[in-house]
Amino acid sequence: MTKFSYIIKSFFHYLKANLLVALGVAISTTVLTGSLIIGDSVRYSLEQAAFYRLGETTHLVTVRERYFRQEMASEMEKLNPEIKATPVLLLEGVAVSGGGERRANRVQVAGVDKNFSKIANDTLFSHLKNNEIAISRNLAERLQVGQGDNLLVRVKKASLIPLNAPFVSDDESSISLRATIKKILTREELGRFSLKNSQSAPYNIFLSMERLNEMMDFSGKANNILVSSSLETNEIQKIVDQSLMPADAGLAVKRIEATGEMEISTHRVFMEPKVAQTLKQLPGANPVITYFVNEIEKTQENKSTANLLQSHSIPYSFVSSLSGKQLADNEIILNQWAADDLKTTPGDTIRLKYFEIGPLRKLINKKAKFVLKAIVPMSSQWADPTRMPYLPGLSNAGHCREWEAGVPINMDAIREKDEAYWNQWKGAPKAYISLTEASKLWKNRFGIYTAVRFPVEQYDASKFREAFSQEIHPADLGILVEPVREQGIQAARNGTDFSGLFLGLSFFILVAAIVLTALLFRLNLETRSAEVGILDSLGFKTKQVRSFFLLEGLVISLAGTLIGLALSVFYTSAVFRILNTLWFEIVRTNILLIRIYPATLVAGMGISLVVSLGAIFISLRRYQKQQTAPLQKRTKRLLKKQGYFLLNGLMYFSLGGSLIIFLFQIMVSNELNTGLFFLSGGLLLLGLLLAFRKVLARIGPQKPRQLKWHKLVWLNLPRNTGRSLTVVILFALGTFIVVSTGSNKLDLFANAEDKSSGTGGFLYFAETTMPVLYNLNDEGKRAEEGISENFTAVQFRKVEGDDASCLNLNRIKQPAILGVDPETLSGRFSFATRIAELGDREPWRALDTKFDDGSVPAIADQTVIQWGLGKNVGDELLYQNEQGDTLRLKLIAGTTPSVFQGYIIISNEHFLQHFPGNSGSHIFLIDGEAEKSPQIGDELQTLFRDYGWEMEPTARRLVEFYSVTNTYLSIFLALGALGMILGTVGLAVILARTILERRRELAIMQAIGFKTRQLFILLFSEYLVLLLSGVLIGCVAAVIATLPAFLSTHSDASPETVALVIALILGNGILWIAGLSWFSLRKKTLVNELQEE
Amino acid sequence: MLLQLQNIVKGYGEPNTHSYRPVLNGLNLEVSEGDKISIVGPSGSGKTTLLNLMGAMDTPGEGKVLFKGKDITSYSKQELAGFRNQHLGFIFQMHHLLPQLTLFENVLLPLLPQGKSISREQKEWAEYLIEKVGITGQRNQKPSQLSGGECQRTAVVRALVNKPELLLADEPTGALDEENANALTDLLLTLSAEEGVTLITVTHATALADCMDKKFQLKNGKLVDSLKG
Repeated sequence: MTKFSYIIKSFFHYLKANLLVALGVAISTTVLTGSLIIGDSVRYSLEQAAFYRLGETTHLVTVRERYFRQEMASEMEKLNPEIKATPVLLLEGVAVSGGGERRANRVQVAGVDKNFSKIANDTLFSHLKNNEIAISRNLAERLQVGQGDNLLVRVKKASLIPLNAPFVSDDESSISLRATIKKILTREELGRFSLKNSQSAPYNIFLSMERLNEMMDFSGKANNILVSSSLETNEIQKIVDQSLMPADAGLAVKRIEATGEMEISTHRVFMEPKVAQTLKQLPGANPVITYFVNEIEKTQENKSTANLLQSHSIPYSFVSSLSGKQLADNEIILNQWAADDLKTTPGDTIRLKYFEIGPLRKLINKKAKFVLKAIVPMSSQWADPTRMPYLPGLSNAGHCREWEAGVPINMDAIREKDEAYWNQWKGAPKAYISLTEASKLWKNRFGIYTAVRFPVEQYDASKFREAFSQEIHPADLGILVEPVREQGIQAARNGTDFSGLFLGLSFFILVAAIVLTALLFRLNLETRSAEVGILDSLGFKTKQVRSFFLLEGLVISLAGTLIGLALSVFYTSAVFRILNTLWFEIVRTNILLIRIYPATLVAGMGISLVVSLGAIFISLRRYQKQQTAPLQKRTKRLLKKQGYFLLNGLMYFSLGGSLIIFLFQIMVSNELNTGLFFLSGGLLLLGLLLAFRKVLARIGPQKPRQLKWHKLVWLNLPRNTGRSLTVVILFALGTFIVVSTGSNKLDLFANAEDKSSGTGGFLYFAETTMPVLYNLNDEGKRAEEGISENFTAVQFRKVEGDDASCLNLNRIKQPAILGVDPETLSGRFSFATRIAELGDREPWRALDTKFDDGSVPAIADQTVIQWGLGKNVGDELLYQNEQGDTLRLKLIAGTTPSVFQGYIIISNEHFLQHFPGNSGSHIFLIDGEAEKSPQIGDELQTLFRDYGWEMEPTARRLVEFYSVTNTYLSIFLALGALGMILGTVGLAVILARTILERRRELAIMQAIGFKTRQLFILLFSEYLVLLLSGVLIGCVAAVIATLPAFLSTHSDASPETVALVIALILGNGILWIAGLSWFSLRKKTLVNELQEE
Repeated sequence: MLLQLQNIVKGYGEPNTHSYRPVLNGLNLEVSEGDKISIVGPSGSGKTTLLNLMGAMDTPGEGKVLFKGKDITSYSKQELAGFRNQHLGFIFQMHHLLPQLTLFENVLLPLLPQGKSISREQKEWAEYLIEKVGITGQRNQKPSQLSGGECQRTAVVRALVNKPELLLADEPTGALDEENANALTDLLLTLSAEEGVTLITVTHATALADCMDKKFQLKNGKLVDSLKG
């Protein structure tokens, strides 16, 4: 006989009862360990997703809206053999199959060469020829195609010139290719290749880089280099810096024979300020600006007839600049041809009419007046066609009628002599103005100079290269080096904390399971009270007795945790099955894989053991305190006066506080503050529970009135105040959680047409693969494009970034930025948070302002701010702009759930300042009459099909995003309901304990003539009162706490679901009460009790 | 003097309120080694309360409980537990054997609080007592397999296994039929005489009370020598 054998014998003797306790432990272990496994698995899945999408890539050299030489990759390898570098030309496109029946928009088209095998560990990519492509499995499934099938791929036109730069034709926004599928790629074959931090798999098409270059009309260009290296990012940055050549900045050097000059020009038409500044510093530098003007006009003081005016103007000409002091800012030089045409002489006033090209190719008519200073001969120096920058639609034109200048050309205005001039001198400038004036008039967001010229004798190629390598760094051209693998892993590891999330979601079930464990254990103790008493009388010290039961509790907990660990795996797989099913359509993949680490199991087991042993210990301690003299009759403990006053004070404070906040919100405040309502509800819950305790306490000391049997119910309630309160608290809390969660479910279809809703009152949200370069609201353009339906569009520019919506589980640092005209959103959407500095100002209107510290105001969905970014309003996000400078976006406000989830919004003005190279719009919000919505939708779908127009009703988009939030809420509701059902089991345990204690009392009552039915009603009513009180208190408090949700247009305060859950709770509780009451009143049982007595 | 109770006052409820009910009121008792005392009294007179005080299971409101001259009311809970284990033996109306243990294990149970493993001598002593009360054949059976008399005899052996100086019995024959009650009475007297154990029993049973050397009646919270009337 040892202590150990005593414990083991006790465990097995009370096996059934102990297994019940173990079940409680198993439930808490399942939930707790399950949550930890879910967290691990999500992290593991996201990490795996990062490895699958990156292959061997560790770093990425990338640039937006421009291209560098492919050779940069091999040069990097030469500079450091530890680097494996692979150039990729990454573009977007649309893929179509089944004769146009099936299409996939926003497809990632990657031009790769044999080097890609280094990243993919697959030689397949070396063998892609001409029109052969390899596509990802998800794309094949979407388009229902297989190996050997043909596919029409429309790729967004890439251009060395920014698409919205002045005088660049917008006719061709995409290039088509009919390709044959050579291979369907699995994820192991880099089918999920993506450079964005997201678990969503993109649709991928791979083809040979040479072919993609050819399609884009250029050669040897790439916009990404995938690097595989163990070097640090800054070391790779240095290597990129060393590999950077003027050609990577789009610069080309040529000799201008006619003028005896060397010219450095740019493929981008206008040189970026930093490049221009660098070249200007070189000895002998003469910057040149050549601009296309609509008219050169000789103005006359007395305009007698319109004819006269017409005969004195020249249409569509190039005007160039002269540096130095040859010309004052108001002076102009004309060439002989122009002077003759205008019949002008020095001293005359010459007016230039030109377009200033605003955002979305908005044309602004401008004029500038000059005094004619001189007329220059048509010599090679002055009639110099090389001054005209290379503009594809103009430079290649055989004659004027073939011009595609990206601006409207009135062909009727072009005269025979103009054609003759073009034939002889092409784009040779007809006029010259000072460089200063030209800069002032024609400097635009894309740059300043069109070229920089040097006298041949002063041009020093080595000095140019030296200046370039010293002054121009990759960041100045927007070339970034990013440690993508590390970022991917960090994003995965710091993503949504699913362990925490599920622990939170399962909070109630966890509490219920722990309480149940304690209650069941206590019940066991009470059935063994004689054993405790006898051990006490035999001289076992309190600690010894406690250690026996505690060790027995340890054995029980061990058994429970082992069962729980096994169940946690099923729990996790059930949760993942739900999540994978719910999210599959949205994230396009079954991303979640179960990963079980032994350490997690040990941790889960350890925590569960500690928690359950803690519960058992507390239960045991409290029991022992009550049993200090087991044979002594129990004396009623009177609450100390101090405690009594404290609890009363707290009750009045809670009820009063709740009422004040509620009345303030209803009667005074303009806005229903959800936080304050929740506080009011929470205080009410506490207050009502304390009030219930007070009522119970009051019943006790009352003198018995005329006693009726049913009054016994009322008198019995305070017999064990703590126990009665436990029941009420359990049900009040559970009901509170279930009702408040159910109320907060978002109904995003409700009032979708309301401007203050998450749709902003817009009908559709659309996104294109190719940018739309013009304004959809422009009447002229509408007529040109054949748009007949009446709608308005709000257009957004976009800088690609990571998806920061709830659909992305990774922790995101740089979400995509949208640029918008803030005026167009005024009065739309609602704001959940805003910085104090805004005051009453509408946040949209504040987007145009600039903070003194240089940061730029930005707005995002509050959910993105809080969960996606882990930030608050007032915080900043850091980006690198196109000039390589740090762009600090300050979050000034967070919208309520909206279609903007995943994006950061800034004003167009700020956007273009920082991303001048960005062209056109990719995102659109369409507004119009709701009745006309199908027609508007059809027209847009048809007209913009080739842009990869992907459109959906705004309400549906919201639902998609918030399906994640609603999924969490549903899980929370389900787990809460399960917790409540466990709670009713707890109630049953409490009831069983009470009945156990009252066996003899009930037997006597029956013996003296109480009918079994009466006793049943007595017992049943006692606990029904407690059950109903708890549910009622919880319900009332929850309705107050979530009143804004009930009143809100966006919430699906689904009363049916909540009512169903409450009915389940009540039904389950009633069943237990009725069952146990009936069981305890069975005749046989009672007779036994009396015999024992 | 083995045990002295001096001016013991004990009641239930909150003192100085209407709910307070006095039970023992200035009670005095002196017990010498080897005494065999019975305490009788009507229900509610405080017999069990008194036994709890003597057995260090409860503390008096006022007064002292001296064991061999030492005031045990000043002992800590831990000291009291040790004291009970080493000096006292208890027998209750219900045997209170632990159902999960065999007869023999139940008997050995009081040896565990000492924290040492049970010695051969202790086991032999337990076996001797078991043999003496005639339940050797049932030593490996669990209480559920024993008769009421066997259970109560086991309880007696369990009370004696630690060689206590004072044996306290609360209605030890209350749950037994006459034949078993008589047998248990004989057993208690024989064993206490043989082992030199002082015996105090609280009982309603006249037969048991009459067998004792001294017989007290608990009346109005005080002990009255019932032989003196």
